[in-house]
Amino acid sequence: MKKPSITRIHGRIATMLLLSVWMMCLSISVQAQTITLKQTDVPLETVLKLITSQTGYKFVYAESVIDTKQKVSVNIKSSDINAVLNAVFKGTKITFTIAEKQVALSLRKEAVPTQAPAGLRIISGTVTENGGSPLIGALVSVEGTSIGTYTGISGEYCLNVKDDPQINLTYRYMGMESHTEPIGSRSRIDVSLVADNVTLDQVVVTGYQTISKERSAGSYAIVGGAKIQDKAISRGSILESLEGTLAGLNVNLGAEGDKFLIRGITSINSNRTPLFIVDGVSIPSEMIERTLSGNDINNVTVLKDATAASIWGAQAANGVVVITTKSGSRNEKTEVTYNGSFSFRGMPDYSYNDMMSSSMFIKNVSEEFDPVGYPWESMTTGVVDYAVLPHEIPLYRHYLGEISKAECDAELNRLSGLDGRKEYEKYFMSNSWLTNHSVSLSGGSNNQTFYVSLGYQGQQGNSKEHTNEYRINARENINITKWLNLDLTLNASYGTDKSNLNQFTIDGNPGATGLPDLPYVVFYDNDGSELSLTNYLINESVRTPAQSLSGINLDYYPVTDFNNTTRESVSSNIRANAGLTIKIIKGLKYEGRFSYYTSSGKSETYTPSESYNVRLDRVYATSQDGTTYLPSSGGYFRGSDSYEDSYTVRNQFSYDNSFKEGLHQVTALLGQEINQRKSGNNSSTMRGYDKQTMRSIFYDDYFIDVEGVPDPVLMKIGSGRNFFDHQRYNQGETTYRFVSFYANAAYTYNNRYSLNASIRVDQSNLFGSDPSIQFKPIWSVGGVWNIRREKFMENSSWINDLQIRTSYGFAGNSPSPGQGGPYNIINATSDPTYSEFGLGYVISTPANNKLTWEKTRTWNLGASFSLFRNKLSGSLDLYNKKTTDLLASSPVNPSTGYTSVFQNIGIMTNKGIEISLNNRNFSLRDFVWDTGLNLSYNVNKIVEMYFPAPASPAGYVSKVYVEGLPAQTLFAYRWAGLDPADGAARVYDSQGNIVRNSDDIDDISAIEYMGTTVPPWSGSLTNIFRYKNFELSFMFVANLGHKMRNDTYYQSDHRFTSNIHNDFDKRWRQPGDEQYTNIPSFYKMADANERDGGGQFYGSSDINILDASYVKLRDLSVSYYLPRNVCQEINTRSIKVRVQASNLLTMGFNKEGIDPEAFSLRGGARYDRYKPSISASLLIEF
Amino acid sequence: MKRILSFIILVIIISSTSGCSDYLDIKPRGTDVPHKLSHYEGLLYGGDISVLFIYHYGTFEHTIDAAGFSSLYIYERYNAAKAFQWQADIFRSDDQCSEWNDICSRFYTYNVVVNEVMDADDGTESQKMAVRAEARFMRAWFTYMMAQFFGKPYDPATAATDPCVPIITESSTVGTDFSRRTVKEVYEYIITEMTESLPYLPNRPAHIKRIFNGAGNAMLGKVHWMMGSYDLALPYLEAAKSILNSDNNKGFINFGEIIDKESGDIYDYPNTNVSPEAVYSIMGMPNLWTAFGAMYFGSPLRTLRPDVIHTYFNSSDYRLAMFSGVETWMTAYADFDPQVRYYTNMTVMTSDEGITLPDVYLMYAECLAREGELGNAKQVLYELRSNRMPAEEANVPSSVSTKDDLIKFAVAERIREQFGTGITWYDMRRLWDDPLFQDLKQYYTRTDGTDSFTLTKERLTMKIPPSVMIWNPDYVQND
Repeated sequence: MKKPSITRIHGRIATMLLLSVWMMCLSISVQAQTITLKQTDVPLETVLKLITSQTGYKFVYAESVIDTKQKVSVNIKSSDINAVLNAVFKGTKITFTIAEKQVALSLRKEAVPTQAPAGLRIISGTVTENGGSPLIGALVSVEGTSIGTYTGISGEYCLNVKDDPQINLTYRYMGMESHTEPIGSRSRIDVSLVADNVTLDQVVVTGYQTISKERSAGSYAIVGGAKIQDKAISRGSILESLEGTLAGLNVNLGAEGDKFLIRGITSINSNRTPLFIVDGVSIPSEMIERTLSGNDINNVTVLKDATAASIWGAQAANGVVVITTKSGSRNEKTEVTYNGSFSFRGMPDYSYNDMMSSSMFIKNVSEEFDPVGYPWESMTTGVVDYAVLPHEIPLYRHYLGEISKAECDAELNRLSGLDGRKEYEKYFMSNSWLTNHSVSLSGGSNNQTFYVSLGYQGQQGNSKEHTNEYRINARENINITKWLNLDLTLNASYGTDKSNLNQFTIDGNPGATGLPDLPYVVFYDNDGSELSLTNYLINESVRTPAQSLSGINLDYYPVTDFNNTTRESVSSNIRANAGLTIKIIKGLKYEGRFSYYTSSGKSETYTPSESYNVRLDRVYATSQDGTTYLPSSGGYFRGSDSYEDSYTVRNQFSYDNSFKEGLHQVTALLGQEINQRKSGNNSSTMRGYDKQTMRSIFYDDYFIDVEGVPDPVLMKIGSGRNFFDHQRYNQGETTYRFVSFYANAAYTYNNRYSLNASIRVDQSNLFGSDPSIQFKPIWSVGGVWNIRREKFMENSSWINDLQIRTSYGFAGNSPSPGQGGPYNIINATSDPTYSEFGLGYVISTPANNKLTWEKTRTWNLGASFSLFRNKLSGSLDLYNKKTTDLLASSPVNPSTGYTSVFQNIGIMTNKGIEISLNNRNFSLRDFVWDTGLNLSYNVNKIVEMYFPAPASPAGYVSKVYVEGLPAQTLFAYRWAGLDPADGAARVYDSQGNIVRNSDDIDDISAIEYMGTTVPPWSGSLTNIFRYKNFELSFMFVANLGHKMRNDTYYQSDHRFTSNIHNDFDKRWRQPGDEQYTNIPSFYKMADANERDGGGQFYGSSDINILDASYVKLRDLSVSYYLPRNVCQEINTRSIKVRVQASNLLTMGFNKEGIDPEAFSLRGGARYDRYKPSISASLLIEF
Repeated sequence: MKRILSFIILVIIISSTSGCSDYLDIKPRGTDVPHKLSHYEGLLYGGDISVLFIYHYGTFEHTIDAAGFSSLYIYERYNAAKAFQWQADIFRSDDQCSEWNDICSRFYTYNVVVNEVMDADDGTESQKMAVRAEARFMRAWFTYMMAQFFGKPYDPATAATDPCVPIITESSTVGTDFSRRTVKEVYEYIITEMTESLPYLPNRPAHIKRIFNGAGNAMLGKVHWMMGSYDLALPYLEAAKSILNSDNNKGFINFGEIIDKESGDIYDYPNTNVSPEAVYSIMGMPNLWTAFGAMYFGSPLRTLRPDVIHTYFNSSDYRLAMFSGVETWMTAYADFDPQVRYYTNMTVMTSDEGITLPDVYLMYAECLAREGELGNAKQVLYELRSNRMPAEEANVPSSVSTKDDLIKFAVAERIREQFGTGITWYDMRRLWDDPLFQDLKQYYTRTDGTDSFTLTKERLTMKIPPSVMIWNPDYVQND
């Protein structure tokens, strides 16, 4: 262990050699560094400075311990740092340790005085990382003073302090959370530091500037990259993993609804998503997921109120999410990090869907078999999409006297015994999993820093689809001169996607819309040969003549078809971001930025010639006389391309200076920006396509679209001729342009009082160039009071930080291009019927010169605090957002020619409170327990609707926006029980009379408001326990106070062509059943006008409104840090192994077993639900 | 020095980038603002409503029974059921009404063309006038159609006071004046617009989406005919017939050539888009029909009144191939049996609310008969009939001898020609008070299996739907 540091460096080089040749070059230059020094009797500090200037090594020491004025002599040539330092300190009491280009100086053990001078106490101990490996060079200081020391090679320290039990020691180490400990009466204090996961950053990043937290009046929340990194790589999404980490940002992982909402819904039909910013430039959220890996994130800031967001102008009315990516640090040795994970999610839990098993299905459909309403003759003649299904055939045949009851039952029993779902999962589904790997390198020298990462993500979905994504991300920061700085970022990703198609149709042919959803459908017989399922689609009586006339077989083999169809797509994304900073004079800087991204996708779907759908189309296209109007060979092909590109050019001047020794601090910003976003797509479709030669066969598209195939051997629905959509090339494109001017300023007096103001004007191409509509400045004002800095708080022992802030501002949302403006906008149409006249046109958007911006005014009142020696910190915000001139499509007088147009329709408010708390509950040597709580409560209300739309009772039940109520309302009929006579659903009208039909309800007051589907309460609770090298963390998320519609059986038809909700088995069958069931009886077609038509009465009644609140244990993870000595042994800095389980526990507040995240709250339908997913990840830092 | 230099360069960059105000005036691809003649012309046909959903109380040709009524209720809900029962209120407060809304939506487009085309950037004055004339014609035609739904049948005695539909000549989504005008005002407006525009209509071959002079004459004739001004209608219809006769694209489909005389099946019946009989086509979809959709072929909903079919048709009429037996699955041509229930064969039949060649012939024949030109009328009827039945039966029977007989025969031919399509409804309105046709009312009673319902004069006019009334509280509702 003579030269421990150098040995380590060598070892690392060996590791890195394997990684990259380029890295090797860098490392060698480190190793090659030698020192030549010749000095006689000079102060120690002079020598240390010389060494620093030659090598970049920095010295850390406590001035109270090391006497740097003492004279030393040295004469050494071309030696390494160890040799030089040994020579320098020869004859002194000083010893040294080298770590991370830092040299920590301390006194030799024997030199430590054992007896403290009077009034002082000697305190010693060790500082370790997670209770394990020692931390070398950790700073131990007396709180509030400059007295301190650094830990030595085994993490030990020794410090003289005033003998006062009230004194606190603070322990700090880069990348670790600092820790404060009162000395009490102890003389030995051992401390374990933990990785810096929880501490809030001290600055606010708005994307345009970085301002210190204590000077910003805005309401924001910040999370460090380390906190979301693990979740992001397990989940495969950076933005989703923000869930629960930022108060006020609501991440919805449910099957429907807005994915990201900041402080409630502020728009009905216009944009509701926050603006996403990466490294100062706005970018679509999909681009973030595609180009960045979880461990590329440095931190994420959410800007919530007007002051915070107004700098982003017109696009920021819904809040802003600012992401900063990692960059290297100056004078840092190159660090290499590997991060990998594997997550397993499996298949959806079918039992959650509440559908019938084969036997239950057969039992129920036999009970309701109706050969009178659906006579055999009409069921078997002529129609394509109406086939007598396998379970009906024995029932009909028995009814017609062709087979006996026993024969019929035997066939039904056979069907009851088949498990179609099991087969379906076997042949059409797969387990879903996700794997993620990334390697990053970062480092820097005096004049430049760099960060490079390489990432891979692989995924398998539930329908045998696979995706691969490769990413590279590089960031470089160069100091060209003292006053000129340049930064460059390049992200690139490439992805592939491969899947099969359940069905491929060009026209959406009836009869081929998908696999029959019947529980007894199996795909292979007992001998293993594939079964043709054509009988489920076309009656044999129709099919047989069509087959013989066309000579085309119509057997349908779903598994073969599925496996033969392909969908292949590739996508690529590139993003470049370059910035230039020029220091002009003291405090004044110019910053220029250019950012560009481009993304393109290409997808090809192909259904081969032999597929059922292609054959079926060929039959449809064949006339009785044998003429075929579609190619007799070749498959169906669709190629589509999409592209998106965007650039931003920004010029800004910023001024940051303070006067009178910091009494006045001024920060100001003035800038201008132009931005263009262009996206488009095109697709072309071909019939008769040969995949290998990439050619298609010519046929007469005009004829089959305009004239139609005459006298076809098999008729499509509804006309004497069969028509096919003509195939062509389609193209679409959208361009957005913005020109913006912005300015903001912050002034702080005496570090106590700050005022912020900002203004921004955005002009866009969205409205045309009418200046009266264009000029809509977005502005805000705000103030902060740092109470803790006041004289009267100076001596407060328990308040470490306290500030109160308030802000008010104005933001807006403009309509998208084509949504409205002063001109009639026309689209071209190209119906071949009038192709002789040229293109046709339709008015796609009528002119509306009264349309204005949607305006949101926001008040915010907030407080941030840190208490009890920073153990408890947090913030509390109250806000009131009022949005006027809501943009939405809303009814107008139909005599205008439109029943609804996009217009300004009303006023909505969002009032709420947000609490964010972080507390260190417990901390003792090796054990730490932290808790974080985010809670938000938002009350949404539609205050006014300018044009209330008329509604009948039946229409009112499904209203979503109603004046005086929150958005996304749920209404219900008042349930009056089943009719004892026939089991029909009944409800009350407004007078309390029982009615059986929605048309008989007298007034909308009979319809009751039941709540909203948007949760007013949402929050998360995170607990982290650390013991030695272990860390246990779990997060609960909760969404509370909202409602949903139960999923119920409802009768839409009088015959069963697909599986049924298993509630149907509990339906009313005979008088008296109404005592114990609310499920209405099944009714025949002949009774339809006696019943509630579509059968929705029951499902839309108040007994089927459920509490949608839930609490989930979103994730639980256990991490283990390998002990430091083990890491050193294998030449790594640290190794972390982590296992995470997601959604282990769901507590719903409904009795139906519904997981509101796997549910359509409004529609009352279940979506796929998964069992808890498990993931394992590995983090290695070299 | 370097710093100052780069600073100056930057100021130049900034001022140059922020100076371009044209930057925001880009025209996004994919859309446009109408400014060229071809835009205005394209607006006339590109925004075609292919189907107009019509609740005009169904068609008297159809019968129904209890089971049929239930299925009507399932597939069409209350609206069609109530329309079938000839009830007054068929719409709920939030139901949209195609007869009002879809027609008004065309006014928006036509008004854009009428009011702006003369200012188009390109095109000659006469080209612009032609497009404007066509747009005015379309606007007038749809005003006429709207008047058939919401205005009373034209009666010179009360036309000046009977409320009709608004006359809409401006395009605005925020406009407010949509007051109902009288039947007289509306018809005067229609006739003025059409008469003024007729000379500018192009003289081109007929196309089902465009109005040319042939279609224009037919429309003007039809409006007069609908008003009962048969003498005024006559010259327009004569002109229309002669223009259409000289059009190589247009002519009758000879049913005798497309019917398999053995099986009674009809083959190769052309789609409306390419049919030589279609002149200006607006597909009507009587809402009762949507219930007849393919979901359920044998539905009793579609059963034709046996008394009407057996009264009006001879067994040799080729048009019987358009009807199929519910149980037999054979066409009425192959098996014309009073015991068989027949329904319309939706695979070939359409309901064209526009102008068709047979319509022009039948209107012309009726006008000739009413004007006493019996010989000419019979000749016109023969020309149509010879394409609908064996030649030896095509002549008007000799039993039809008086003027009244011939008028009734011409209308009976209309019933045969349009049987099952719902178009007969407009004749029911027109002829309600005509003393010659009071016997037709025997067919205007129908049953849902339990109750029977009889058409009243009030119900020849739809009530203004509540979804329209709410925006126009000053409207006087129809009876």
